Amino acid sequence: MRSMTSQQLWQQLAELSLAEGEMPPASEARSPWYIRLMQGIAGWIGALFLLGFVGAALAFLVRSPSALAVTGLLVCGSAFFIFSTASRNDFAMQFGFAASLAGQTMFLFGQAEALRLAGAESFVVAALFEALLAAVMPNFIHRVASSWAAMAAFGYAMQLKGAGEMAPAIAAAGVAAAWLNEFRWPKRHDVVRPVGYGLVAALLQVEAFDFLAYGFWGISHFHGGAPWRPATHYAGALLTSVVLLGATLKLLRREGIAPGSAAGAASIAAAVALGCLSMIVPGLTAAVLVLVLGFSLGNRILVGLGLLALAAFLSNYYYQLQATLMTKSMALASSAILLLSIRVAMKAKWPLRAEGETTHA
Amino acid sequence: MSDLRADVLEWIDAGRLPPDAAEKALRIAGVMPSRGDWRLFFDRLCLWLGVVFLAAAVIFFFAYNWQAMGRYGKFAAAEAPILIACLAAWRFGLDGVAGKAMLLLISLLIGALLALVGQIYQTGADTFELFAAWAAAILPLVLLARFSALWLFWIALLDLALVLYCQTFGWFFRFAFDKASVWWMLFCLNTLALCVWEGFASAGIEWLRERWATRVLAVASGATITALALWAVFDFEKEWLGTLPAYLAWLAAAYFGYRHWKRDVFVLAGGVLSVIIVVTALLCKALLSHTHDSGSAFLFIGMAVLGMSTVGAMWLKSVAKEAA
Repeated sequence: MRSMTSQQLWQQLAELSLAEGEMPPASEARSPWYIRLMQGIAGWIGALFLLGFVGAALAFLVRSPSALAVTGLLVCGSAFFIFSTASRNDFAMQFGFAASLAGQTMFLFGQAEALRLAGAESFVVAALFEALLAAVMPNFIHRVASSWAAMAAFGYAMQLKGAGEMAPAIAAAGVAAAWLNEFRWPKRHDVVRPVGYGLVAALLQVEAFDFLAYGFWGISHFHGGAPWRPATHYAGALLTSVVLLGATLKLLRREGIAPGSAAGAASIAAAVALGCLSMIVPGLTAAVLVLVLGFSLGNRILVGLGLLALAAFLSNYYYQLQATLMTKSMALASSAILLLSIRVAMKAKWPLRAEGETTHA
Repeated sequence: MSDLRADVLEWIDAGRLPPDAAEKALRIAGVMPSRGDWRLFFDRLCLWLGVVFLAAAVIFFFAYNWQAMGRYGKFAAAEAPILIACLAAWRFGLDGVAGKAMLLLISLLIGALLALVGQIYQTGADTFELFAAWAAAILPLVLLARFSALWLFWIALLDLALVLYCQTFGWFFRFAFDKASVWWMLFCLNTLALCVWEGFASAGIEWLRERWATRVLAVASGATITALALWAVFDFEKEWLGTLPAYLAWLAAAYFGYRHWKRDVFVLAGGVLSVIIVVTALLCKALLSHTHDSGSAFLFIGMAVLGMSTVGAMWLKSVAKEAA
């Protein structure tokens, strides 16, 4: 990476006639990801106490599911109003986020109780509602949380219907769609980026289903015993492979590399090989996809999440029941040999320049 | 990298840069990878994934406990990859990335070998001895490697050995180990590791200067002292005398260390979150157990959490801006 200040970059852009005038000052709203994460966690804690307030002081609402759902919707509507009108007031934004989380919980529990929804249906309603909020709520942290919740709820619904192994593939498709098009809709940056992060977080979560399904939601493997489960396993692997191949082709086009060239063909072959491996090593392809997308965009947060996804995949893989540890051991050994062979072949065909010459982090 | 990326995205959002120039601007900034960067990325990806998968394959293999295979065959199967990896490390040299990857592989495989010893001679696979012996056995490799990830792995092994030791002998030394002892020991170990790490990094050891590794240690240290502080709050009579002063000392050290000595807003953000959690617990203890009007107490605590996080975020943003 070249060492450059913001000012130097602005000057270079101005020399190329891409930018004009003085460099704009850094926005007051700019916030590193860990500050946003802190705010998000604090917002959740605040929301729990607001819910406690509703339960204790407005107990009559809790006794009437319909009233609870309607009040929840009104609270979410108020949060939308706060986000739209007080975007420069930090406390108002934090309050809006916590109030909306409390409102969502009230609405989802209220409507499920009022309509007597249970199981997969209630998760589908939750997914649709959260997807709507991700689209309309004009707040970064809210959009990340809502898109995460939407995909996770949809994933749990699929798990309950015996198609849980399709969930990571669908999340991976969403991740690729968001990040490969990060600059495609300039007017919708404020939606695409947080939704992209939320879907990556959901991908991590659904990858670790075997832990989370037992621990948090009490969804057991018995729900996964549907007759179509083996088919969904392969369908999921196939979809993720297609997504990875599509992403590879798009990135090759962006880099100006012809698919028929040696580098292009090698990249496509590697994507296809990973896709074939994903039939026996599910989860690997999605994690590599996140890593590659993050690297292609110079986005360190995505790269970090991709590494976490790889760790989640390995831990999850140990506990998956569809194969014995011996089979998994052989699959991992084959993958390792394939990867190390690719490295040796690359070194022979395209030797690395001196260390430090290519120093992209 | 991330700052220039944020700059470009902000300029586009503000309409000062045409959206279709985003990719070009990011390339000029060196944020988007060049072809050489891609080549290096795939090289590292294949190497590290290959090494970790190879180690995992061996561990999975022995976890399967194949009965048809004799004990000598199993030992040979565990030791042969270690020997090959040693030869490879010798061939590649320890200064390059391939040599370091081989040292990581050997370290993981030694764990598989020790677990195999436990499996064959029935010494137990989850006892603290396994992880303590593993940590002791790989210490020379860790010292040789000069590699942050391997040091962190070594510290994690010590943490695990400590937890298992307390679980195993807790009943025996009940007078010495109360429930919080294990948390105290974890806190001391990770905080000591953090201080030593930062000290050596400041003394000029280049490879220790990677911030991500110290941040992992800071999270481990902060999470354990926060857990202890929560314990003290909810078990007020017994624990608070020792814990709350230690917690305040940790906060003060984190503030001076990462606000004035080495500016690291990530650790400061963790400290703010820790304060929010502990103060919230104190408010719950003070208000919820002594009031009949719990509704008002819930509302007050909720608003206090939001107020603290807002002020905290404003302060953190101002520190981050200074750093920029």
